[in-house]
Amino acid sequence: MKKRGKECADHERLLFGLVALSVLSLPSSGCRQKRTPGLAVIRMATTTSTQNSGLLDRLLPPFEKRYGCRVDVIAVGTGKALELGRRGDVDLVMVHDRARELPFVSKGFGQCRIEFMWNDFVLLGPPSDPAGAKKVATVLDALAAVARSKALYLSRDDGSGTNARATLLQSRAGVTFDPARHLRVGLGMAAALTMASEKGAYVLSDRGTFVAMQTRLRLEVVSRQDKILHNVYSVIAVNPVLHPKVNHVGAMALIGYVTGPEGQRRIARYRMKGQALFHPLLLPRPGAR
Amino acid sequence: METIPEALRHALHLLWSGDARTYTAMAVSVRVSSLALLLAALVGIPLGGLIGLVPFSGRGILRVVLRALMSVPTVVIGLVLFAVLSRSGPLGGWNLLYSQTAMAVGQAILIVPLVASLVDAAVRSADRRVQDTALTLGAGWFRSALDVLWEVRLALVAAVVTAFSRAVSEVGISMMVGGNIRGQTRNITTGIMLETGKGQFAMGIALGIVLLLVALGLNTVVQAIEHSVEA
Amino acid sequence: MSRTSGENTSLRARERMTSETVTATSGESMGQASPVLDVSGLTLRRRGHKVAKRGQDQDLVSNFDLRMDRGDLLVLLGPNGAGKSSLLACLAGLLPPFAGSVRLAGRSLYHGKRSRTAVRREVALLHQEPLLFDRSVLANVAYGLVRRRVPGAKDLALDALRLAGIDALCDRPARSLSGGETRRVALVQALVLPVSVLLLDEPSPGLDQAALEWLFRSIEGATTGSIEGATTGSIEGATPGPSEYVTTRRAVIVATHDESLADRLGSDERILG
Repeated sequence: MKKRGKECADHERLLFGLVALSVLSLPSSGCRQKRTPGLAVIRMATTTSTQNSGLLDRLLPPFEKRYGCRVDVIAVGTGKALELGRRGDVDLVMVHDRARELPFVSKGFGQCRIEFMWNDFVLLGPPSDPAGAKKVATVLDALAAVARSKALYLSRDDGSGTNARATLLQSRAGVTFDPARHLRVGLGMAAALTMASEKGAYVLSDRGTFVAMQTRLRLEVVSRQDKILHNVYSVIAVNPVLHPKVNHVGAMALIGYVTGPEGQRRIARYRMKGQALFHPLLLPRPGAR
Repeated sequence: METIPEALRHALHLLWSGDARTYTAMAVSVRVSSLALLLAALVGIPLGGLIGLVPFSGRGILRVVLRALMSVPTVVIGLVLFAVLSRSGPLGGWNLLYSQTAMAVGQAILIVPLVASLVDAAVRSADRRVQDTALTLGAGWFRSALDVLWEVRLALVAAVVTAFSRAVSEVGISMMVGGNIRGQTRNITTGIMLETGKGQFAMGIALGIVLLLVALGLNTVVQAIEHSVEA
Repeated sequence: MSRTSGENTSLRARERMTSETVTATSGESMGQASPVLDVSGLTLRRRGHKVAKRGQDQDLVSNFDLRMDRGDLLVLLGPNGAGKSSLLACLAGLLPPFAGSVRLAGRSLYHGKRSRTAVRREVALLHQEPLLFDRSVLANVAYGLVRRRVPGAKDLALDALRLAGIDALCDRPARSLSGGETRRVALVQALVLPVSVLLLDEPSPGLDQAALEWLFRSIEGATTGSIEGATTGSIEGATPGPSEYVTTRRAVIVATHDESLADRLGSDERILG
């Protein structure tokens, strides 16, 4: 909680920036300012889960259209996204691993971290459920059941946000997996799900990737909704003091958009195969956490 | 940019400290690619020899096809092999997906055209009289073909080294059909991919340096062998 | 021995060959049931000219007949491009004829039921530009014997080299030899083989006077069955098989453009042409 103070300060600065921006460019109907200087190209590093879910394809085009800019999305793992941010190769990052985001901000690599939406992780397993993971109450019990059974367990081992959460869950559940049945695969989420399906292994996945691939997988959700499975996404602007060449104005504008009412509503409305995947955090609405 | 010196330091440290994961990945790389090379040599050398030594109709077309096959992206080979070995594929029952065997087979498919083309070229560059002389001295056709291969043995060594380098440096097939499982199918190149994905760029380059050192070691051995066959 | 004037040189050479054939046949095969080399109606065309475009002009050798027995010596005399080398390559089993047949020791080389390799082992060819394998001289000379599974091949090869006076070369890498040395080793390589027919394509260039004398003795030895240096006690003492082979009389064909070589060989009464 020590970080709170700093976060709030960032928050205030962000709001300040947003006000400035809105003065500059938001009255699109009045000023007819087609192209905001400095907004031309915004580079955002994000995780594959947001990209693969198709959310960005709904969220970003209205923003691009309004500001006459282009958002280049570099979809990588959380670890690589933060590394790109640290190096100043992108203007902002959109990631979901609080434990690494906070040091990233506190070390001064990023600014204005805002948590703006969440989705959830699901524990998946083969339909036959050899470990009996569906019968137990919580996801931690389910993990323990998998560890006790002879079933395979697959983790991504790639430093991704999903991988970090899986590791966290393992330690919370206090389980260790038999190394012979614990496949540590350095793969993206989609490839990891394919492998879990082929091998009949249990695996933790983000819901979006699973829903997108569901029909091609021999996997089912074996966990229940649980707060510990919530997956919070943040946007963080790269520090323009460290990297003067980053498009800071553009980054702030995009942050303002996704955290603002329009962006939040678009996130809430987004459906994949009839399922809501992402839930806005900044809309004053019941059930939004 | 401190990445490069950091990478060098990392690489030396990995090797010096006997880092288990690095050495395991190294062993997987060498084992898988050696097996791939063995398979590819068993198919590619006879194939290249036949194309080079036997005039048959369609030989030109076969040459063109083989050379074109060298351009197929590794990921495509990986995808096709994946489709075949997947549980819902025709050979799903063999349970080979995500194994070193699958990686080796994929890499072998990758380098067979390379081996065959290089052997074909080597054999064609050999003096025609080698085979004629062998035949007139009483050798059968097969034996005369072996004599031609022996005559161009240095080119064969070069072909084999080239093919091994191609196999050990590819990443698409290893990723697709190996699955980058730690301790089992994670080799140096998929390890590099993983470190890069994690944002550990220096570590990725360090593993690249490790692979380079492996290649240096192997080629030193090959050089020694070359000297001995030259004599 | 008629020479037709006005024709191209290659054709003239062929006619001369043909006339030699007649002499060979009439002179040597009397009273023998089956000639060791029997060529009839042989026509050779250049590679890539299997379908004649301008009639017989494409023929390197046309309708060539030849019958030879063990002990016969034939000199094929003709200018460059006359088809001598192609004819020898054909007789050695390297160049399938366009038409006609070649029979060696009673077996057809190109149309027989037996494997061509087995029939080919009845004949040895010294290439006009001999190439030795990239191995030791000894391994080169032993090569044909090893292929025929002759016991004691290496000893036999070494003896043959010794009696040719070039055993000092035996451990040298064959590719390090001079041109003349290469030709002598290649000749030993052919002479040591237990064949019925020996074909020598331009054997003399690059040989010094001593080597030339040795060449003449070797050719004579091949026809009489007392191959120069190959019928001595050391070999006869080894195994009966090889010595039997090497003392076999052969039919020998020497192809050359060199009239003086032909004359020199011609001083022997067996020489035809």
